[in-house]
Amino acid sequence: MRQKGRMMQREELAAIYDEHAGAVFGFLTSMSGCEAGAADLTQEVFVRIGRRFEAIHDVENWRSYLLRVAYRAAVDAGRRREVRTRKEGEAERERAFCTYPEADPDRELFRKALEEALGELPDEQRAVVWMKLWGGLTFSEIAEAVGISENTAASRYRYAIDKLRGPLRPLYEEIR
Amino acid sequence: MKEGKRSEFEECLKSFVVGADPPADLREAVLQHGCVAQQRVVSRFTVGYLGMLSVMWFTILGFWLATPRSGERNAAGKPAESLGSEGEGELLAYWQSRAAMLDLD
Repeated sequence: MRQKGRMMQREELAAIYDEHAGAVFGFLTSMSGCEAGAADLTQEVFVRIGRRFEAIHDVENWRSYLLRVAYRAAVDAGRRREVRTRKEGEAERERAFCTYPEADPDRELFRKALEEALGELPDEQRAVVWMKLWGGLTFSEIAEAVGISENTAASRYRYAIDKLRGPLRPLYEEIR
Repeated sequence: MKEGKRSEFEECLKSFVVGADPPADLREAVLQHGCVAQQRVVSRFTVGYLGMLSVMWFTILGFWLATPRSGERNAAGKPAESLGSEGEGELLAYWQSRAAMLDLD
């Protein structure tokens, strides 16, 4: 009976992983600044889910729940990295691979500029933009995930979009 | 909170797929560690529960063994039921008989 229960849990966890691992990994790559770190954090997120599976298996919106756990893991990792950087004077973090290459040269230029501009955003604004645009969450879900009010989530999003608009405007005119 | 309609610029940003495929071996690692972790939590709980039950039963057994049974004498050689009023009388009689034997009066 217990063996059957464990198998069910494994199957359900596998289904959740298959559906959302790409989004979680993409979000964590944008937040952590390197793919190796993002892979470790992605594993940490899903192992946490596995540990608490009995208590949380009836979650309605897994995308929102996973991004919330991922955000907290990214914030914790960011703090650890900050302490390490202060202690050891580590070099600046490597630029994250955020977007897939584009075939069209103009769009490829825009893509690189977008990566650059996303990297320049403060972590809390980048998290909100990612969740809203590419994670597909509502402001209410973002507010819950990040632990802020809906109004703050909306204003962080607007500020971030305005910051992205500045450097991307000339290239945007080319590709629209 | 009203979500609002996305501008053309936002739609353009959205059209760039942000993300990357997780490493291929990550899936198996997640499933293995996620499930093992849960199994460990369950077994730790079981061990704790059984441990608590054992302590409780050993305590009860200890009390039961330490309690003198009817007809037995305790460490001082007194009858087990020496504390009741009836027992007090028996005890008095016992010591009176002992005193008489030793001629202490």
